[in-house]
Amino acid sequence: MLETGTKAFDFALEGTGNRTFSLADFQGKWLVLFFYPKDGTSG
Amino acid sequence: MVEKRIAAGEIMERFSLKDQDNVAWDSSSARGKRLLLSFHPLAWTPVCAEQMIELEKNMQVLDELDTVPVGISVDPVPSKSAWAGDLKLARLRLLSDFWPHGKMAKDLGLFREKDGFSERANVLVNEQGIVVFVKTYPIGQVPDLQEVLDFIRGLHHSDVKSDIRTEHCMVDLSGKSLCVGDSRNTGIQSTSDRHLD
Repeated sequence: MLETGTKAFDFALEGTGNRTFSLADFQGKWLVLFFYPKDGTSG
Repeated sequence: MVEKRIAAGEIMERFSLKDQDNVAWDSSSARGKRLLLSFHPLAWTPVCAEQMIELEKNMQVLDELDTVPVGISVDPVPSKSAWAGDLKLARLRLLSDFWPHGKMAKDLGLFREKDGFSERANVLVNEQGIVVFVKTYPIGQVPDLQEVLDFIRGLHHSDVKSDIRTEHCMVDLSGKSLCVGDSRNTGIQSTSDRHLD
């Protein structure tokens, strides 16, 4: 698992609005990656 | 590894997948009936929605033809559940081939590795568990259910007149035309126990 102090690697994922999001899009900002199990659930 | 695509004449192995209500749906529940596996790429997309609504609308016709349809895609159960509600499906079962991801589609050679979802395809299995019809469709095209219904009606008539032999022709992705004869009367029934037990 990723540890604090590790340099984040670049990624590109398709998201809502048919947009591709990559790490570079957030350069100079803090970024929170919130992982969750499944859409359409209470969790 | 890419599996060889399932073809008419082959045996459909028994399978079990969760439906939109998180209940295990076992193919043996269609014992004695035909089974129409309607594969589609992804929930919440317009063509897939039309494909499922077509099945729901034709439930009674399918009942009369002793055929049980199921929709299958890689979407997880909660997504299928919300989508079934959105489509106002009353009877059609939507099966989740989510984990192992697309295993069912992979086993049948219908998984699109580069996309992570299945082909849009209809696979018809007869009462003996033998695949009698396989057709894939362009991703943007709603499958012609009428063609499948007509094909089933042809089989229906041949049940009565057992000397009728049907032949189905299809075009594969490379554009090659392939015709497969219905070999139900050539001893293939002896292998049927492998499916629905």
